[in-house]
Amino acid sequence: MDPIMFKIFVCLAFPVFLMMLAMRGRVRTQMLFLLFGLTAGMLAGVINTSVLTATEVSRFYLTVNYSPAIEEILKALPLLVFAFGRKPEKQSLLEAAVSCGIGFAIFENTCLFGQRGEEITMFVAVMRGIGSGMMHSICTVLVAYGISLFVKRKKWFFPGTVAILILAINYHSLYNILIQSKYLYLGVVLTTVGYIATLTVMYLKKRHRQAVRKKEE
Amino acid sequence: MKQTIILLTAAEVTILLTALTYGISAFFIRKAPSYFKFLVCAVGCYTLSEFVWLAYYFCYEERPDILGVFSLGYFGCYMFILAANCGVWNAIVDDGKKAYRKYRIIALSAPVVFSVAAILCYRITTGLTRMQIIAYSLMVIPKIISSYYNLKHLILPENGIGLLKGTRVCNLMALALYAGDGVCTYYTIVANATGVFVSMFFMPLCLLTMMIAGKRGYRKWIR
Repeated sequence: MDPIMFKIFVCLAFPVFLMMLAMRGRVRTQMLFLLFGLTAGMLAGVINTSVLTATEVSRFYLTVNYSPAIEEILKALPLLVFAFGRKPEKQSLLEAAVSCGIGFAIFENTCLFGQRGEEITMFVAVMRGIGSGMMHSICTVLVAYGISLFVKRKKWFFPGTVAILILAINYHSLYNILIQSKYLYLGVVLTTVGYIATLTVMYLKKRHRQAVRKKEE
Repeated sequence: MKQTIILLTAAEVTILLTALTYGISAFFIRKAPSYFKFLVCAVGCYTLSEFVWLAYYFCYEERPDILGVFSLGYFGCYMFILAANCGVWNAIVDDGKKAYRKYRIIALSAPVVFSVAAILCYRITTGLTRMQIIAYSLMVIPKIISSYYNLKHLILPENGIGLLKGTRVCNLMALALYAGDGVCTYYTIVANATGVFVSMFFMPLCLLTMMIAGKRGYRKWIR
């Protein structure tokens, strides 16, 4: 493993961990999942490097075909444990997913700029910052939404969760294809539209739930 | 050749986006059944995998690897259809009574046919690596399992509530989709234009018909 990745992880994870100790309740859960996202990013870096060495494929082939699958599975693991272990409300699970996705994006972008900072222009930095953050949170929220649906319905769980994971992997791969081509702005447009749609749906569902609760009271 | 692909691409994207937009409103209607929502997710998965293929082709001017990540999307599509039929629908329409035994036996013919077709396809084509055969075989599994439920729900008699009537066309389109996928697999391996036509035109039309029929079907239940 590239030692710079581990150094970046330590520099990012410890402050988040310290912040988490000072928080309570829901905020602490979100900080915890931010930490899980950073950890997933580090593990993904290790696994991607190993796969690159073992299979001798090009870096481009790796980022289009293998990395999306590896990264989405790593981000889904803490959510699965949370969903089965604590049985949280759907809203809590989705918020945890956003934190996990953002944590992953923070680590990924920091590593990228740590390794190739001098080559990267301000334009690419902005595109990656916006695009990668939104894309990782959309994919993780999608998987969390699927887990929340299927966790109570054992018969659907395996096919449903696998299918939702595949949806997220394809979305991730599409973003990686666009962001590495001359049409990188399309990748950002794709994720912006997806992120706005995701936030809108989460907000509308929250409002609907609050309205139902008020009526019951 | 490129002009033909551009025209077919435009047609395919139009059909898939129409199907997806038509179906996606189900997520905003509380009474829309989970069965239909799963079918919409299946269409979404298929659409996304086609977009991945198209983005790769147009950005880099070469076809992606046959067993690239986009092919997972078809697997995901069939998993959603399997979840819809096996997980959601089967428990509602088949209560396990003896009178339905003959339909269950007839329905077994679907997985047999699709399995035999897949084996024949691999035997006829040459040059497949072991990894490719394993990967294609794994992708065929949800299709084969789901075909049993699709055929069963197509031929089961109406149970008086009118639930099966609304889904017969969906099940027929699912079977047509699996057949189209088999044709595509064969023609993709032998690199023939028929595969392109079936994957870019026939299969999206099956999905669009599935959405229209499914939505009309469940609207009758919630009236």
